[in-house]
Order: sequence, then structure tokens, then C-alpha cells
Amino acid sequence: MVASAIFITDLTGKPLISRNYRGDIPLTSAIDRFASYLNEVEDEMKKPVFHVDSGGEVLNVEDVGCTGAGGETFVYVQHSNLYLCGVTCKNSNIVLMLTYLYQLTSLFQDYFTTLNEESIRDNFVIIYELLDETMDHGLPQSLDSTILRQFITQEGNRMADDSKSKPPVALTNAVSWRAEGIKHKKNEIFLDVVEKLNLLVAANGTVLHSEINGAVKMKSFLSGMPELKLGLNDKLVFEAAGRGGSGGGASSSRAGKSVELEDIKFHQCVRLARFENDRTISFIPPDGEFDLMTYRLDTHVKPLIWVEAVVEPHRGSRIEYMIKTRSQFKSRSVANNVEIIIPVPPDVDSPSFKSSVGNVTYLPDKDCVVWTIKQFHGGREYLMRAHFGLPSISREEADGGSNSKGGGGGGGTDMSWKKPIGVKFEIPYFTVSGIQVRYLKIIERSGYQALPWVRYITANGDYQLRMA
Amino acid sequence: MPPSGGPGPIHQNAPPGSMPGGPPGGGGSSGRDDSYFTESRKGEVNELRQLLRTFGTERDKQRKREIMKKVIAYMTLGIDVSRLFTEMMLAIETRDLVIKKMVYLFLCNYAETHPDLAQMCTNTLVKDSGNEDPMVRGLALRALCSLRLPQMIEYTSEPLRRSLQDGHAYVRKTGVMGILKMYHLNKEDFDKAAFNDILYDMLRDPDSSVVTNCILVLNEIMADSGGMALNRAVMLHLLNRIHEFSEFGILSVLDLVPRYIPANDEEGFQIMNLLDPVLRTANSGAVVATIRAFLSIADAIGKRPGDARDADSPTVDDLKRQVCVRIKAPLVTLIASGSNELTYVLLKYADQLIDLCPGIFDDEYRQFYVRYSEPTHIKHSKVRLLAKLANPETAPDIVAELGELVADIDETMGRLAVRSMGSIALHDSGGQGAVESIARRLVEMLDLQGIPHVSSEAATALAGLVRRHPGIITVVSAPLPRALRYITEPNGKANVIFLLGEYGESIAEAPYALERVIDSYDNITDDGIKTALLAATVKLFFQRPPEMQRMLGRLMKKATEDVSSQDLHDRALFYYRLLRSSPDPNVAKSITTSKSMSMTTDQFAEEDDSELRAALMNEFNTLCTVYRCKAENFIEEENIVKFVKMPKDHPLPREAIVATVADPGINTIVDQFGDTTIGNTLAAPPSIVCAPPAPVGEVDLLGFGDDVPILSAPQPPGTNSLQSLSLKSNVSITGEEYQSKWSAVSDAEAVVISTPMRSGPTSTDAVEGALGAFNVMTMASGELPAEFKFFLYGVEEDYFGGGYFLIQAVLMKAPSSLTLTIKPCGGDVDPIKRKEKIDQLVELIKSALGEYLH
Repeated sequence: MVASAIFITDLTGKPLISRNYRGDIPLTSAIDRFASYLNEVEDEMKKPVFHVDSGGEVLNVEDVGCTGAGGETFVYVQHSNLYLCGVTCKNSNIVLMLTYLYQLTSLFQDYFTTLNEESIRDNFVIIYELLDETMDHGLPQSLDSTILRQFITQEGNRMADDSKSKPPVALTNAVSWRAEGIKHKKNEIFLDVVEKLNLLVAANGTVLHSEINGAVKMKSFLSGMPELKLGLNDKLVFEAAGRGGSGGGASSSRAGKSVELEDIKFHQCVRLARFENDRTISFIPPDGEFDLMTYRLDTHVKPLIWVEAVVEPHRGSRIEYMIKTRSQFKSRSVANNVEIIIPVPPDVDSPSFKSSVGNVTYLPDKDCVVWTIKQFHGGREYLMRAHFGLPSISREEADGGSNSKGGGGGGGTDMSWKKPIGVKFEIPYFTVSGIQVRYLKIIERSGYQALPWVRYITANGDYQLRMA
Repeated sequence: MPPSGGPGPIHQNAPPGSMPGGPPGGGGSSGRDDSYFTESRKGEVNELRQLLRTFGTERDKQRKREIMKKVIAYMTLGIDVSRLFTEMMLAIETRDLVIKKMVYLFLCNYAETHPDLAQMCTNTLVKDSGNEDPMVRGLALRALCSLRLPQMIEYTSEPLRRSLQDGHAYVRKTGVMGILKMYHLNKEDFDKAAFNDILYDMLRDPDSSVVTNCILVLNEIMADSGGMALNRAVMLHLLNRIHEFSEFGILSVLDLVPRYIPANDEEGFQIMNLLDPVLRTANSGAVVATIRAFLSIADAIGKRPGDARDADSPTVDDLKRQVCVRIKAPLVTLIASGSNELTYVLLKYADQLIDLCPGIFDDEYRQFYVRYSEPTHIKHSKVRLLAKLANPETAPDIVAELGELVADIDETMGRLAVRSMGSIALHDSGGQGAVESIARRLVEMLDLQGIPHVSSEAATALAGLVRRHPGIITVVSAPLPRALRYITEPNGKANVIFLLGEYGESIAEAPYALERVIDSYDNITDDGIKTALLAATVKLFFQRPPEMQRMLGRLMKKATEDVSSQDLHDRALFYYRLLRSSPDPNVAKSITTSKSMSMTTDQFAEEDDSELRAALMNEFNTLCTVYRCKAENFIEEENIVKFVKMPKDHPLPREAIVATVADPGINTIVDQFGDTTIGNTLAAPPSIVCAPPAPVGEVDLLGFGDDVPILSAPQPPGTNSLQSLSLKSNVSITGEEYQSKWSAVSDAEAVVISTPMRSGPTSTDAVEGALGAFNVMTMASGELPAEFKFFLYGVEEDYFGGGYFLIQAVLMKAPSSLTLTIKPCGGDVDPIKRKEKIDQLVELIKSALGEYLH
């Protein structure tokens, strides 16, 4: 990867801060081009990687190379009201550039808690320092916030205070993610197992795709250089992650409680060789928050919260909804803050709702109805009816009926409200995959007793049910 | 950041409530920095100057920082504060690290525009680079090297050299990067040799971040020869330490692996095992780099047809498939959980991997279903990909899913969905009955009157489909006349007309449907429709003359008078003259109605990009993959780093030969044997084109022209006439010998000959067999999408020490041609005799391959 320059702009492309690392491209005109790209290219056509040829023309992906060699490639990511953009004039490794930008974003967030235009302005000096320290001459260096915090601080007056001034040892020692000599009054470690359920259900009720994205998140407040060992329910760890290295086809044993983890990824602190050998997860944790491991599970999960919608449109007068929802998990568990988001046509009026439980609100600005159920116990079923008036002449009527025969939809003329139903929920003390923490051993030379805290939670990921 | 005159853009965005032009540095509250970005005028720079003058006497550290911050804030806004250069330089003597960093930043920003002033602060920087604090040493060194002033090199080199021996890794790693900066500043005077030695030595540095920077720097300094030179020792040293590297450091090592040729199969597998854990890291960059490394190793150690390897060892394709299976899960995870930008790029990668290894993502097809909330470009990529994931099992689901998308409000998406459906049917990847069921769906879509773009796309897809699977015309034919009425888009309309013309025989209403179009000829604006109409009408005329005759006449008149399109006009005239002048109507009929439109392969010729794909595989995980375009087409030449496999002396090069010269058109790929590229060798005008052997002339004079022995059909060796060359029958050399011999002969001595062929061979074995009969041995051979490639050799049968002939033969498939590159090695010293022998050899090869030649 070689980035000629990195810059941050607001949503209109006005530069907030920039760093020209290599001086091989004219930065001001590059930023101008980026701004004109943002403003002139249609949103639909925007892509996170684009090429501007030597004449300054933005090229479509298909056209790259047709106007001769030269020019620059822009890679950008959006975060709140900012764009972070890298520019290169070489054949760079684009995934690496994106990884850098993502990590830069999380680094900034770590430093300023929120990353937006305001916090960029408030912290420009630190940002310059971070930009300099994370990348030298367009090549990425260290992006570990715990380490960078050792020597890039808001105070930063170490040198004035005493002359022996500690160098940033941790930046270069073997355990690059943890500095030596960390002290906490209370030695604690928090472990959250968070699973997000992605679901896509077709209009006819068949589950098109379901998968679990899980993460073991840690918040470590341990002194010294602790050695940690994490034990998960062994079935999972042993039968998962196909031992033979050729992972793909371990699809046989679904009989027991074993789970196929398609893919496990670890934080860099985990000794991977050790895991490959005997499946133990051993590591020296960084201080503070981090994701110890993430995994993906591609199984057929019963949709935890099922929603059925019956829509009866009466053209020119009213539209009626009957929504049925059912919780398909054990009755001991409770789903909190359940929100069922039902899209409605944009021109409805005079809403009225009837529901056996929870609150229903109509959000005209988002063209949807939100049905909120604070506590949804397992194995229950609830019903909600919604009634709207429709104007006598619908917005689309003028365009003539596009009665979508092949589109699988009956009734509605305007496709724009045929969004899928979305569901949000959180189920504490429960994991869909059945993953469990058996133990977390903490060994430190000083021999202190540390307290591990473990929590489980399952929440919605990208949870969509298409409407008929 | 070059300064731009007036106030920068940011302050206009400042909250209106903030104090405009408040006293600079006033307030002193470090928390509220909004005031830095308020209204500013030219005068303020002067005020700042005043403030900076008090800087020296100012005691309060916080206030000092505030003043500095103000300057940097102005700089960030793009206001030219370079006038404060002198004052800022005075502030450099400080013990406050925060202030020091800000001054360094200021210096780096304005040094280029104020070289004289910048030079004055060199001393301080050089002094700081000897500071007791390693942090300051590092920072000073970085600033010193970043000034980008050529005249500074002499001041810089001393601290730079010192830094490389510094006790602290932070300084060393900054110093290493400094070398690169010096290199870019003045490439001519850069002492490559000296610094390269130091850098290679430093690859053994105990600190991994120093090693990382060494690799990165070496790669850039040696970009001309493809990057850092690799040998076994270096590569293994780095791989063994890979667990020490930071997340980004690993990448520098991983990027070296694709260029490395493993010493043997064993080593290749070891490297893959060693790198396997990297696929479990959270860094997506590292995961993808590992994928590339794996594929490259598979390429190097896999068995190829015709090499002398153990029959049990896996072939390249097997290995690649195994690699793809291994990397599938990590890649899918990244696609599923990654952010949108990453997903966009990775979908492109997945696309390329599917081309490499068809079918690998098939069982993950649900992962590629479109989500409502995704950005458009991801949806589009997914819809395109879905077509490639179809197999008999998945096709029904995929087609149903595509059907859902056809009526999407996004027009492009609807089009893509139809195209993807068509492509599944065209490639017949959906198993039994899929073609017909898709055709039925498409036919249904023809009737989607409200969505013009869908019916048009459906017509286009059907036209392609019928060409490939003529049988389905029975499904398609009925609604065509109807569809012609309401399909409005030119492309779709033209395709319906095409179908009516091609298959009008079996469609009762076809003539009348066409007639309606002909009658409205004056209203047609699109040339494509007119051309299609003309061709269709003529074709149908031969099928159903009585119905068509009158309207053909009308159309001819219109079209020959139409001057809107030259092409159309000329075609109309052509048809007219053909019909009028042809004595036998059957001749005209055979010309116009030949079924040349039916397809025998799964692909349209314009979709065949196998050559490009092979080239792109070498550049996997770069912008090339995203753009689907070779680097030399969009990257300036000076910025291109050639892809060179190393080390040259490794005993597996015969595979590598085939691998690296995958495409003779790529001039940038350096071959294994020397500095010139094979591409160039081939492109060079042949120095001798099929010079007939001298004796032929004599024989001709005697009137025996047709009986020249060496031109006759293949004969067993030994019975050849004296003029012909005879080769030893029992010789064999190893790959290493072959390679060293090849590189021993300069390319200037090579003889390149090319000749057209009547037809290409079907397999490498056929050619090898034919040549073997003449004792022309095969070292290695391989089939590429567009060509066959052979590395051949032969030893001259001569009691006085026969020489070797090394031959590289390339048989292009279409148009068929044979190109020979011959290097003599040893044997006759006399250039004339040598040339004679080569000529004889060429004739020998030609006669061996007689059945393919003219």
C-alpha cells in the first residue's frame, strides 16, 4: 500500500484536515476533485473506490484505462458527517487502504469518543500527530490506540516535566499491544458474548438466508502482564473451525450440540499457533476494550421473532394492516425493546391502531409504523391492526398502472414502500449458537485475584422480512 | 498542503455563535478550540506575528501552546501563514514536546516554498536528532527527512546514518523510512548499493517494526527490478518471525510471498501451513494478502501437464481449488460482516476467484442475496455475481430471487437481474429444464408493459438465448409479434425484429408484425432498429416470398433513400443489388439466410476475457482487480512496479516460466531467463522469416521442386537427406540445465521465426508426439486460453560434439500461427553454419508439424 495523501472532509467535500505524505500528487487539486466527485456524481453511481484520470475526469469502473495511464485513485469511507479519504497514484493494495481508514476511524473515536466535524476541529493538533505516527511516507505504521496513547496525549508535557522522559517502549517491544507497568486498583475483566442474527425471509415465508455474527468482546482492567486462557464449551471449539485446515465441508454432525463455526477470527493478541495445535485460546490482553474473537455461523436458525403481515389496500380510500408476531425462543428468555418496523405508503393519513400489547407509532418522515414491545416473553404471540386513509388519487396514478406481474407483488403500484419489515430486539442471557464460556483463567506473576464477569446477549443484525 | 490565498473554507462552517475575530489566544481555555476556526482576516496573521514575538518571554506553558495552536489552525484552514516562518523558527528551541511537534509540522508544510528559511533551521533539527530523548530524536529525524529540499541531503545523511545504529527502535524505524525519503529526493545521486547493504543487514533487526520498514523501503528503492530481492534465506527468516509482526507489519511480509518461488514442493506446503493462522486474524488486509500468497504458491508447486513430477502430486488446478476452499470461509465472513466499502472491493475479488475456480462460492449463494439496505453498487455487484453461482442445485433459488428484483425501482438493477437470468440460461448452468423455465420467465417479462426497460432487456436476453439453444424458439415465438408492438426501447425492439426474421418461418403473424414496423418506418429514429428490420425482412422474404415481396419492396425504397445512416444505406443497396443481379435466387438465399447466428460456445466472443483474467491474477489484491484492467493502462509507467518472481536459481522455474509468461502481450512481465521480456522477443520483427534452406534452390533448378525430401511428409529420422539436420534420439536434460543454458545465450543470438498455420492442434500431447518422432524433446508445455506453449530442445547428432538447440514454441489458437524462438547452445562456432543448422531445424519442426501447416 502506498497512500500519497490522506484527508478528511465534511459531507460537501470541504477539507477539514489533510496530510500530504509523499508530495507526488498536488493535494489541493486532489481535494477539489474529490469535492466535485461528491457533488456532481449521482448518489447511485458513487463507489468507494474511483479513479480520476490525468485530465481530471472521473471515470466509471468500466472505463478505467481507456483514457490513458496516469491520474489518481481515491478511496474513501464515511463516518457520521465526515469523509476520510486516501489518494494514491500507484497500483496499491486497496483492501489495505480501507483497513487503514477504518482503523484510523476507530483510533480517532478512541481518542475523542465521538468522531465528527466538531471533534476534528477541536483536536486538530492531536490529529496531525496521529496522522504522522500512524503513517510515514504513505506506508502504515502502528495503529494501536493503547500504544499510541502512551506517547500521544492531550497533555503531552512529559518532556517539560522531567528529563529522563520515557520513550515509547511499547511501540516496539514484543507485546506491541500492551505497555508494561499498567496498574489498576481493582483487577477486573468483563467479557461480553454478543451475537447478532442476520435474517432474510422471502415474501412467502421461506427463510432465504440466516446467519449469526458473533463476537467475544472484552474490557480488561488488569495490572501487569497477565496471561489469560479462555475456555469455551469444548464441543464448539473442537468440532468447529474444521481441524483439517480445509474447513469448508464439516457439515455432517448436527446431531449433538455441536455448532459449525464457519470462520473464527482473533484479535492479534491471541496465540494463533497455540489455537491451531490444541484449540486453547491463550493471550495477553491489551488494556481496555477490544474484540477478542469474532465468528460467523451459517446455520438455519429459527427466526427468533417471526412477523407476518397481511395488507389489504383499497385503492383510493384506505389501507389496512394485520400484523402477527410470534416469539420463537424458550419462554424463560425475554426479548427487550422489541421494535417491529412496518413500511407504509408515503401518502397515507389518519392512522389508527389496535394492538394487544405495546405501543404503535406512525413515523411520517420515515414512511413506517413502529410497533414497540418493551418485554416480549418467549413463546408468545401478539396481534396488531393498523388502519390508514388513502387519498382518492394516489401519487402514482398518473403514471399508469405498473401492475407488477413478474415482480411477485399484487396490489400496490408504487414499489418504493415495498421495503422489507425490519425487527430490532435484544435478548439477554441467551446465545443462539449455544456458545458458552466455561472458564477464564487469569495468571499474573504478582498472583493477584482478578474477577471475570461474563454476559451473553443476542440481538438483531440485518433482520429483514420481505412483504408480500 | 500548499497555502491558498484567502480564508479557507472551514470558517464559514463555524457555528454562528462563536466569537468572530476574538482576541487571538485569548481566553486561554484549552478546551474550547472553536475560536481557532472563526472569522479571520489578513490582519490577524500580523497579530499572530506580534504574539509570536512575545513567545520567547511568555512564561505560561499553556499560553505558549495556545499561540502555536492558533498558527497551526490557520495553516489547516489553508491561510498562508508562511510569513511567520522566522518567528516560528525561533520557537523551535523548546523543551515542550507538544510545541516542538507543532513547529516541526509547520516546517514540513512550508519548507518547500521557503527553502532558504528552512535551511536555517537545519542546525536545530540536526541537533535535536542527537537529543537524549529517543522520541525527540525520532521526531527531529522525521521532520528533517520530510522537508523535501534537495540541498538538505548533505546535512541529512550524517544524522540518518547515525540513526540506523540508534539504540532505540523508534529512531531506527524512522531512519529507515528517512532513507526512502532521501531516495525520492534525488534518485541519481542516491547511493543505492551502500544503503541497500545496510537495509538488508537490518532485516535481522530485533525489532519487527524496523524490519517492516526495511522491507517497504527496499521494495520501493528496487522497484525497477520488481522490488526487494528475495532469496531463500531472507524469505524463511522473515516467515519464521512472522508472529512477531504487528497487524500491518505482517502485510509487508505477506506481500513478498507471491513473488517468491519455493525451493521445492515441500517448502511451498510449509509456507502455506505457516501462513494459515493469518487467515484467522481480524485484519482484513492481512487475510486477503494471505489469499494471494496461497494462490501464488499453488501456482508454483502444482503439477502441470507434461512435467516430470510425481504422478501423485497435485496439479496446479487441484491445488488452487484446495486453496479456494480453504479461503472461502474467511472471505465470505469479510464480505458478510465487513463495512460497505470493503464489501464492494471484496465482491470484486470474489468475482475474480470464481473465474479462477468456478463453483467455489456456489454453496454460499444465499450470502449474495441482495439486502434492501445495501448501497446500490453492492446490490449491482451481487446481482451480477449471482449468475455465476448457478448450478443445477442453486439455480431455481437464484432465478426466483432474481425474479424478485426484476421489478425493482432501480432501473439498472432490473436490467441486471434480467441479464443475469439470461446468462444462467445461456451458460446452461442451471441443469435440466432450467433453460426452458428461464425462457418462459423471460417471455412473461416481454409482456410487462409497464416496465419498458425490463421487457426490452428480456427481448435482448431471449435473442442471445435462442442463438445458443435454438430449441426454445417454440416457447419464445408466440408472444413476439405482440411484444413488437409495445417494446419501446430500440435495443429490445431490434432484438425482437431479429428473432422474427430468423424464425419467422414458424410464426404465422411474423410478416404482418414486420409490416406494421415497415409502415411506420419514417417514425423510427434508431439506426439499429432499421438495420435489424432490413435484415429480418430480407431473410423472411426467402422463407415466405408471397407475403413479403411487396413490403420488402417498400422497405428497400425507404432504406435506399434514407441518408441518416451510411451503414444502413449501403446495406440496403447491397441487398437490392444482390436480389436484382443474382441469376439464381438460391445464391442470394444462401448468402442471406445462412444460420451463422447460431452459437456453439457458451460465450459471446466479446465476453471472452480469459487473457485479461490470467494477467489480472498476477496483480490480485490491487486496484487492477477492482477496475478489471491491467496496471499499465491506468497507472503511470514510472509508478508501476513490475511483478518479478524470485529467486531465479530456484529449481522450479519451469512451472514459473509458464506462469509468468501467461500472456505474450504483456511486455512488463520479465521472463525467468534474462532482462528482456518474452513479450518483446515475440513482438520483435522476425529476423529471418522462413528462409528456405539453401539446397532447395539447387534442387529446384533441376526441376525436382516437389520432391525436396525435407518438405515431404514426415519421415522417420535418419532417412533424411544429408542437408537435413539429425538429432540425437536419447537425450534428456533437467530443468535447471535447460534454464541455465537458455540464459547463457543472449537474446540477440536467438532466432525468431513465425509462420501461419492452417489449424491449431487440439492438445499439447499431439504436438509433443509429432516432435518426439524427430527427436525434438519437450521440456515443458502448457495450454493457455489463447495459445499452446512449448519449451523444446534437441541435441545435434554430430561426432564432433553436437550443440544444443533450445526452442520456445508458441502456437496461437486463433488465428493459428506458430512462433519459434530458437537459441543455439554449443556446437558449431561458425555463424554461417550455425544459421544453416537453425534453418534446417526449422524445416524439421515444420515437417513434423506438417499436418497443421499450410
